[in-house]
Amino acid sequence: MEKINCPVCGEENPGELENCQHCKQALRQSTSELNGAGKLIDSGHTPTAKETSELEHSLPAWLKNARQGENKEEEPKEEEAPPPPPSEPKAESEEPEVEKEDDSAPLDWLSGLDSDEDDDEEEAADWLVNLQGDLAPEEDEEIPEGIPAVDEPITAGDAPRPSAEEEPPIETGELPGWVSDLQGDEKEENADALPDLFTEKEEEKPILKDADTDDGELPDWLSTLSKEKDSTIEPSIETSPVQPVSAQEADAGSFEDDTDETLPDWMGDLQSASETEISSVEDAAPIISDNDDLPDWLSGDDAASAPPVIEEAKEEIAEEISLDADGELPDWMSDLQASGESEETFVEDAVPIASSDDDLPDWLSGDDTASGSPVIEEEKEVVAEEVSLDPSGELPDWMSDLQGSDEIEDAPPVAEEKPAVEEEISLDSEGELPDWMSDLQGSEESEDITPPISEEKSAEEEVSLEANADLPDWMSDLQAPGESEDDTPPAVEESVEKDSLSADEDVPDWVGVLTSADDAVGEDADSPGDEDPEWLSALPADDFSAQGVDDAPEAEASSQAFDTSDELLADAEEADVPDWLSKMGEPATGPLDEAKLEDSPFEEEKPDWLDGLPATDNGEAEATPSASAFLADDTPEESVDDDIFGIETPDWLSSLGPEDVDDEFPAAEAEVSDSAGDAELPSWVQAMRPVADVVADSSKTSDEQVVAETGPLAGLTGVLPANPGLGPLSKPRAHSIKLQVAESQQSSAAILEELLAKESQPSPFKAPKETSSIPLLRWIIASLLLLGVVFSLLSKTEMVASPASAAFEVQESFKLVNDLPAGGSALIVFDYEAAFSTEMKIVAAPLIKQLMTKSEMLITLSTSPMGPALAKNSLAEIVREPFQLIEGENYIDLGYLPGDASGMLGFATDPRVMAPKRIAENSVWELPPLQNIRKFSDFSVIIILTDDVEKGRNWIEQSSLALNDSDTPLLLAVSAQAEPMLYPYYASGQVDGLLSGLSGGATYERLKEANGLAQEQDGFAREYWDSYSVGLFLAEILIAVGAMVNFLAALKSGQKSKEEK
Amino acid sequence: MELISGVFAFLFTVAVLSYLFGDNFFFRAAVYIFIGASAGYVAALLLGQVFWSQLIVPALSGSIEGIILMVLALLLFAKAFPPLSKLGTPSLALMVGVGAAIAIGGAVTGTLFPQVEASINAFDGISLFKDLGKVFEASLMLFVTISTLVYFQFSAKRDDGGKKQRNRVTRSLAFFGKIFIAITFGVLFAGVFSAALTAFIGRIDFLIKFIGSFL
Repeated sequence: MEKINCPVCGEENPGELENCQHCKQALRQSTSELNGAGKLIDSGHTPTAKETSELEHSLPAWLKNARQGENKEEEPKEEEAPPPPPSEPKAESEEPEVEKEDDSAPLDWLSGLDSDEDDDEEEAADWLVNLQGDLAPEEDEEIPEGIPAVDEPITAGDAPRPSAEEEPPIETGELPGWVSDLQGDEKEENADALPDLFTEKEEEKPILKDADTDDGELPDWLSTLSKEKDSTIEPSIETSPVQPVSAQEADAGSFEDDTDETLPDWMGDLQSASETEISSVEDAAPIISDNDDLPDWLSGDDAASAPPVIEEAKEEIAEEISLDADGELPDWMSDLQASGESEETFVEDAVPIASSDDDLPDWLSGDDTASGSPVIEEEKEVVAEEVSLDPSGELPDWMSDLQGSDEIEDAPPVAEEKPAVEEEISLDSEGELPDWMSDLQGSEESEDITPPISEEKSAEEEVSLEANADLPDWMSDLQAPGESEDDTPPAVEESVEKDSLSADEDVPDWVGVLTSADDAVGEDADSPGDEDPEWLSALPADDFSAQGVDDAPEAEASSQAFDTSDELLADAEEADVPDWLSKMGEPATGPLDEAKLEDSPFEEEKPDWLDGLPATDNGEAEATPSASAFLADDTPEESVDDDIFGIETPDWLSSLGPEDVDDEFPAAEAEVSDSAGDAELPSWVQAMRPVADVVADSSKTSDEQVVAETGPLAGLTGVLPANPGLGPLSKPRAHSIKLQVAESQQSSAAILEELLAKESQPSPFKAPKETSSIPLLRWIIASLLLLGVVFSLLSKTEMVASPASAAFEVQESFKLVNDLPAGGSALIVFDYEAAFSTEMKIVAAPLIKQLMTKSEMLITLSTSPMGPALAKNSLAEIVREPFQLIEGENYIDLGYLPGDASGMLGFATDPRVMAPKRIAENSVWELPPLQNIRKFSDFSVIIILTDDVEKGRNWIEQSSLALNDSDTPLLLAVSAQAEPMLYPYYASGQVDGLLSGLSGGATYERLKEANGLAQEQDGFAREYWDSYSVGLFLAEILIAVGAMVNFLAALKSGQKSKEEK
Repeated sequence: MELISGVFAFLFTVAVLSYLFGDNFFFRAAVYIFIGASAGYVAALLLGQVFWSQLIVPALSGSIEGIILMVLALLLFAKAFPPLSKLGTPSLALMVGVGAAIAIGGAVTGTLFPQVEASINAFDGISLFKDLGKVFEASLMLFVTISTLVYFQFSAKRDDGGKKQRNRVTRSLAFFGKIFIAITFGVLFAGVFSAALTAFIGRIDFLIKFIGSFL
């Protein structure tokens, strides 16, 4: 009966139960349920050991199926999923339960393998279990995008999901080749195919499972990580770094199958040229081929095994080298070229990673090169970049700490530190080779630690170089003589060696083959032992193999630890020779290292500057970059450089070093060797120095050394000359701006200006003078007149005598009227306005009364519309008792005569026609007084009463012809205002008598009185005569006064004008 | 009736005299009333005494003259309507022509010739030594007439200096003619003032009598 340990209390419970009998907690918890059950592991915390079997339920279904061999629904590759490890049957017993419970918990599919393989894996499995069990829930939330979610069921056939930090996965769309190969191998081998190393180092398997998504191929370094550096291992390390690389490796494996067809030319050249490496490859290849467990790429040629790594670093290294592809090879490259060991710098780039780690990972020792290299491949970009960016540098302090620390094993370097490490490679290249490097040089085996990476890089470089037509000479040199320098094979060889180092007795067969191959490779590498540094041999091979192999994938964690330790930095400065290196001894440099370094085709291309280093007497260039690769202190400096000069610092500038100034290689070497003092300068200063030198050398010409003497640029050099080639400047001519204008033009302009000025000036506003004096004067005159008139009227006294002497026109008028026959018809024309009615009444009254006395029929006519009314009103006022006006008897009103002069003429011509007046249905002309009147001259007398000169004149003019030869007198009784104009007609005899105004009426009355004809009704003229006389007198006085005032005013004005003149 | 007419006459007289204090409502009201009353009176007079008696009645009587007058009157009435204004032109032309002819004929025959003749006749029949007064009068009248006429002689010749100037005789006569014209205007002003003063006296007398009638 199956028993399940309670994940909470740890007590055993029957497998059928779902809850613990003791603590009542769920025995089978999903990952989500584990959130509350356990404590999440934070970075830096050491997880507690747990049995991975407890998390069996979290295995994904496909993995469970793979383990059971029952996964028939998976893809063909997945169907070929590797069979469970040897201990799988045990795990299979648990799988059914797990499948039932945790189909949705695909995270820790590796844990099941752990449990399957060995339940005794407590140390390694514990942290993985914690990670799997505890971190899985967190990863659901915290895993950034791009990183494959751990929760997601990852099937063998699924390509790893790319992350932002990862390189893009190989888009094969299928199960990575290496995985499929592994699965196929495992399927073929079943449980026996599991290498022994997995059985021995079960601690490492969980990591390997996470990383490679493979069964039973957990590398040792992962187990080491699980043991020693739980804190440094983070989900990102578990998932993202591994999967893509593994995928690429799988592709590489697949690529290896097509080696014959798709192998690049350079690969073929390398393969064909490098006999030694080919031999090593051949040594490894048979081993791999013999071992069915190995993936294809491992079982194939080394050249085929390298491409996965090469392809990843292709782009980066190709970029770097392409910069130099146009023929301007950087000096550091030329240095490498000259020494013939430049490629070894790449080899050495990875050496520190491995050299610092005594625990060489299993993947290095066996077919896990694919799984181990991915960790390093993640950092290839940075590595490749910083190799060229760090031509100078100093030994970082932490490296010295590393030297002094004997426990480097506890802090294996993690791949993350590689950028800094690789930067230091170039930094150390300038001269200050750290002591520990010298120690490393002494140990030959240290070189073999990292060759997989460096060699892969070098191989990739060659790929790009060959693709480039401008292949540098040194690269061609590398290719041509590089028969023993085949790039890719060393990687495989080195990895194989690592595998061999890590492999023990339990190592699977294929691993054993690898180890043997490693040995062979190591021997091959030893063949050029003349170039092997002695210090490499001094390194302890055991320690190195034990540490470096394991530490290689964990370089990041260790380097991080060293980066943050100031004490170690301080110690590193003091210590010239790292003790730890000496302690590492020979065992630290396993055969893998030796094989790597020795077999590396770049050994002969060591830069000379490495030879000149005091610590490296043997001039082994491999150790120098490997040591400098750990210089982490310079990494900030480089970053500072980037910060100061911007990230966009051109590559050529960053790549320029003091040695780059000169093109010739020997000179560059000399500078490199002599630039010990320069190495002390900050890297960014050194980065700037070449620029200044180059500019100074190229731009300093005599023409450009012109110094500005004047102007705003005074004192500056290199300015353009002010007047190149011109004579001295002279002052410009002074041109007169005065216009030459004639006087006439000036005068015209002045006039025009005046006119314009007048137009623009507003005309002064002249306030009208107040006429207050006028009303006063008016009041004075009015009051005087009013007082005189009123007083004369009210006095009733004859203050002024009536006119004594009658004028001739009045006398004539009186005589004519007085001589009229009785019973005649007198035509009285009333052509005056109402305003003059009083005056006309005074003038006409003596006449009309006299006519009445003569029993003259009064026939009234008017050419004015108002005339008939005025005539009627006047007659009514004039004719009073004893006379009485009776129309038709003594009075006939002919009415209005229209037509003015025409009417007058017509009436003068034919009165009957022009005045068809009817009274009582009878024509007036039929009345007795008018019966005899046929024409104008038939009237006894014609009296025209008018105040208008024109009417008087018209009557005179129009009637002149009608009265020309007649005796009918024409009398004018006019207003005083018309007298002056009508008097000539009297003087000319056209008018027989003339009475004008009040004076004419008064005169006529006086004549009547004088002739004894005075009547009581008379007296209008006399009544007004006094007032009239007073009024005229006042008027004359006022006129005289006014004339005097005006005269005086004129005199004054004349005097003023004279005085002013 | 006389009282009412007298009251209105008094009020209107006072309103017109109020102009002594300047233009005011009473003055304007009196003026407007006078104008309106005159216009109404004139319209009624014309319709009754002219249009009806001298136009309609003759036309209705069938006389040719009356019809001709009616036609001419209607054509002249067409002047009130712009589209038919040209129809009134013959009537208007007849009126203007006849009026001008009458005016000119009357002026020539009634003023110019008689006045020239009178001026000439002033010297007729008088003895230079016996009637000095008449001679002086006639000579003065002649001189005033000539001088006045010469004053309106504006033609001139350029002298040696280039200035346009009338001859001395013309200038001398014109000078006197200007004086005589001024005297004439003075006489006319005296006649106007005399007429106005007479009217003023008549209005004051009316007021006094009207007010005296109530006292």
